[in-house]
Amino acid sequence: MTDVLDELRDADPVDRASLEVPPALAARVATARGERRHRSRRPAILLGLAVAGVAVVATMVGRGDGDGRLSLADRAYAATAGPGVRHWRISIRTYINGKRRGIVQRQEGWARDGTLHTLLFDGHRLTSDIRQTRTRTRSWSAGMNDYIETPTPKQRASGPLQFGDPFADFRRAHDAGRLVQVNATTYRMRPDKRAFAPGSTLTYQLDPRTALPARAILAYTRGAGPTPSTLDGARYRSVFTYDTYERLPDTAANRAKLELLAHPGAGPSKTDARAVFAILRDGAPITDKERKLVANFAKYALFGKPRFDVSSARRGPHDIVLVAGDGYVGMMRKRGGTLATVDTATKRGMAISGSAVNKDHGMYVVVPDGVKAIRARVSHHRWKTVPVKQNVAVLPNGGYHFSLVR
Amino acid sequence: VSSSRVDALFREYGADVLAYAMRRTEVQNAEDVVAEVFLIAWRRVDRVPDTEPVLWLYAVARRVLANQRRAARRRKALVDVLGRLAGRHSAAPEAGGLVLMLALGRLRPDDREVLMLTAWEGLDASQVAAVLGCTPQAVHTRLHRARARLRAELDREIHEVSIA
Repeated sequence: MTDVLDELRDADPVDRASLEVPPALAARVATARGERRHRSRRPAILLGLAVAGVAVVATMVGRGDGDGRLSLADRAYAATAGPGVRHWRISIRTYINGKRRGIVQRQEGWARDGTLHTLLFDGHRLTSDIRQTRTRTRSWSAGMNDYIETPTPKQRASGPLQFGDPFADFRRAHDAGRLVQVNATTYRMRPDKRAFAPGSTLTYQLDPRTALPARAILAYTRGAGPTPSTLDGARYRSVFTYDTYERLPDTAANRAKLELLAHPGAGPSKTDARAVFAILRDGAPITDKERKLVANFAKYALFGKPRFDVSSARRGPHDIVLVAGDGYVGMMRKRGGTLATVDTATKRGMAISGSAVNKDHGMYVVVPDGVKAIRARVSHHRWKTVPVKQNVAVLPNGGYHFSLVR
Repeated sequence: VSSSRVDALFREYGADVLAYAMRRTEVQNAEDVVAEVFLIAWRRVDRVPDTEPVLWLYAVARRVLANQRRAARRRKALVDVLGRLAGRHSAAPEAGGLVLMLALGRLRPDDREVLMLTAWEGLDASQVAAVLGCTPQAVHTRLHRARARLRAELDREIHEVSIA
């Protein structure tokens, strides 16, 4: 029997011999030390300024202006904090080096205490419906037309601007005295380092009449990643326009927006995948090695929700393995895998691509019975028609959009 | 003095610490860990030993990662990461790489760490002991036990597959 330590050595996921520290990381390590030094010296600097009688130009915003009047930030705080259900609609536009990129993303949300309901749109197309309590998160995605339920993470991976109450950071900064007034209607803060890129700035523009948020602008410079990119060092600016931000009364009707429901269209299909994909009926039996991978896939994919039946797995052309679940169909090739509800896979097909997983550059598309071909193109290139053979079409590389020709 | 010492440490061992972190978490997070480790090294430069300082850096990285995982549902996150690592890196063997990683992910953290430090960081028992803060004899015991448990997890995996 092979020693498991030898097996582990062979499976080392990092090639240490060829690993080099990215220059950006080296710079970051040096900068972090610089920041820490700067922070420790700050009291001395401030004391020096006070002794010299120098006025600090930027006004740190606290409660009131010092003469008893409320500042615009105080009014914004008063208008949005307190009990009730916060409701917002925002549009997000992204600029890279000053040029607009991508489509306008929109978000509508409701929040009350620790509960949250967010709808995410690409343009006007709903892509996600996420409901979250303090302990559970239920997420629906249009791509799969399905939902998953997971524990709510204790720490957010992104800041509230991208997901969550998009004015909560402002109120927190106001509480902590971290807002800096830039002009009559604009306030700036350093966002939470855990949720935003280092060196980011966040600027809020308030409506002077209502004291409600009008825009938030998140700006940062993209650092270099492990793989060099033409966008390294690019200046990113995300502009969040508040089409609506309001505090609704704490009524049953408004609280109902926060119930942990599933999206109406969500859920597995009633169709058996074997009725739709010939591979599952006529495909070749899988090998023991493939069975191990399918068993793992069945155990972990989508938290086991699809209840994949490993004995249903069959192999089709190009080593594609399909497996039927309870209203789901799973697709695997070598060590890569994907899944969809049977209805979604019937409507749109399913695909695996990417050299990292399969060690080749092909994009493998599985389509239901009755589909003769797929029409596919890489963005801004011509459409091409690719024939389907035994439920499978193969494209030369990843990144294609495709539709089914029945 | 402390800055130049830490700079030298980073030049010498930055990639080792990065590799250590990449084997245990996502690439992006691994860089956060490295930055935190060398910030701690700068703050506590008087505690960095002159002999084999990389072991002290590994121990700090281990604690930084442990703190992160406590806040991020440690066990499930690591199983997911190991699963993704198995899929992402071509260095993993074709047969059973994913199975091995998943079995590794199911071990207790102490067992997993002693195996990883031995197999991936290439440390001997006394060096592992320095990282984990225990005796070399304890490392021998833990390693023996961890190997048996990993083998049992792998066997269980195969057994479950055959039942299915």
